Amino acid sequence: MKKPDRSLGRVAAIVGMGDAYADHENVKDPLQLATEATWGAIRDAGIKKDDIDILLTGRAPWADRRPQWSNIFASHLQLPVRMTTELTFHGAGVNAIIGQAALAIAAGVADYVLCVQADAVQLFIDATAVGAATDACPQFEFPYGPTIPTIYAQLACRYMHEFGVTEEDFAEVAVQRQEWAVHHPKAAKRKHGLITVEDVMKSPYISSPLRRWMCATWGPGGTAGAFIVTSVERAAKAKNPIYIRGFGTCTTHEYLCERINLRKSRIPLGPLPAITTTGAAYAAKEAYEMADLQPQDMQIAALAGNFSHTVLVQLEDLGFAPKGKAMDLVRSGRMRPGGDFPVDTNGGWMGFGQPGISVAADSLVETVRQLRGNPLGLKAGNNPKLAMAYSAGGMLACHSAVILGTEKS
Amino acid sequence: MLEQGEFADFKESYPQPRVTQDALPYWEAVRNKKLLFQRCPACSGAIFPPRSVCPMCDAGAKPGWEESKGAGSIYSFSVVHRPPSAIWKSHAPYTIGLVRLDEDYFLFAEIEGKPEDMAVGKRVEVNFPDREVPLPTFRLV
Ligand SMILES: [Zn+2]
Repeated sequence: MKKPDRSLGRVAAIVGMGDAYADHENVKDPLQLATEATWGAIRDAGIKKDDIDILLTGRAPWADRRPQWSNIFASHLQLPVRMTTELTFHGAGVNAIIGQAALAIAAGVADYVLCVQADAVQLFIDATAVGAATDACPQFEFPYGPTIPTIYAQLACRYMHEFGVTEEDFAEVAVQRQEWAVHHPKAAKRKHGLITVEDVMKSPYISSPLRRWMCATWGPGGTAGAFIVTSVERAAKAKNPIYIRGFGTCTTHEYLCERINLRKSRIPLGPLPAITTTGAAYAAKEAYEMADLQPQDMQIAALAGNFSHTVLVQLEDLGFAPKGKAMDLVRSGRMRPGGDFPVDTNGGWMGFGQPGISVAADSLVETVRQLRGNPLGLKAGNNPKLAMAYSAGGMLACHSAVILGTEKS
Repeated sequence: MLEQGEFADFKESYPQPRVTQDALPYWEAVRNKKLLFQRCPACSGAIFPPRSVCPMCDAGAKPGWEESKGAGSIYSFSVVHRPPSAIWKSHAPYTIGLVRLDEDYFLFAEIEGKPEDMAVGKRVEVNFPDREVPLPTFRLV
């Protein structure tokens, strides 16, 4: 596959960031949330609304699934622009718009790109029913009555089988996510306080081997994140720029029944058929190569761990642990509060929760906030200057990795 | 704006498969309690889900249909304790897994049997239970 030009890791920066939150006491729909975050980002960047040339979003929010949602939102802002579009490959798209914005800047077709995503599942829809209907194959999977956890649990089952990982290991992953989440004022699971492995093991099975505490929750009520991307030249005048040092993406399938029947792939997935290595490895490799950096150079990371086992698989595929060995990294304590490699510092998808497709924007918000030293929750103790922000979607189908830094190179 | 309950149709009846044109022979066979899959005449690979052109080689060949013996083993499984909607509640807990057929392709399907009897590698055979929506399932041998 053609390699992206490495110079793309030195062309663009995030110069404005805005975030917005909703809950049952303070109900906002995706349009309201996206508007609030966008104006926060515009103010933070010190630009005018009409400076924006292109508007990018991920796929439409679950709580407002009108087609052409990105255009609906541009219209809502009364913002005529050169182009709006949605990167629709699940949760990866929300992360990948940062790289697409950098491409637009590099190509010289935009001075400022607005990247934004909002959702508010818990406040507006029945996510359990809708979720499986969205992510299961409507022909060969959905008629059997799976939920999203059931589909993901197939990977959990194989991961345990192939690498000797246990339910107690999955419980430890949940415990560590909660250690960060209890400090974040917007985290859905904050109210539960700290938990133990025993607490997790006492929680009921949702879809075995996944127990309730091993799964992300639908919440907080709603969130949005907005980012203004511009050139490094313009960023030099910004007050707190965060540089886009590398980005990589890939997608390997849509439905699990397609993935397991995949027998050859130009994207390396290990010996096939198998499901324990994902396209995250390829997406991350592209990002590292563009940034001319290694996994060990990352000082903080945000994953897309909607379940305990996906946290582990992602740590491996992003290069932070050898395949099957992520539990060693978990047990080392390096990723916990006070550790030298803080991961999922807002509690991650499991602790902060999944307000919908905007969960990937929440991880980007957290990453930018930590790099700027102004998180809403607990501050990373190691003053991180280089970050991996990763997002995924589908049954580990779609992947996007972005490397952000406080320095241009 | 989607409102709570807009997806109520999933709760009132078991969902029908969204049948594609490529898969019409598969579903016709299921109604006759037979399990079909495709094979490429060029690369001999077993193909599933059904396609109009083999995706596994560059021959551009039209796959042919074959009957599966319906025998295989559990590749992965999960016991559903919290089902997706109300209609599944009386059926739970039920097991859904990936089954590797002996013809070397995989199906995602229900595996009938006690949850505690499920294990990776166990042998299963296809079954066509009489249900409102005809679907092939598997059961422990
Ligand atoms: Zn072929």
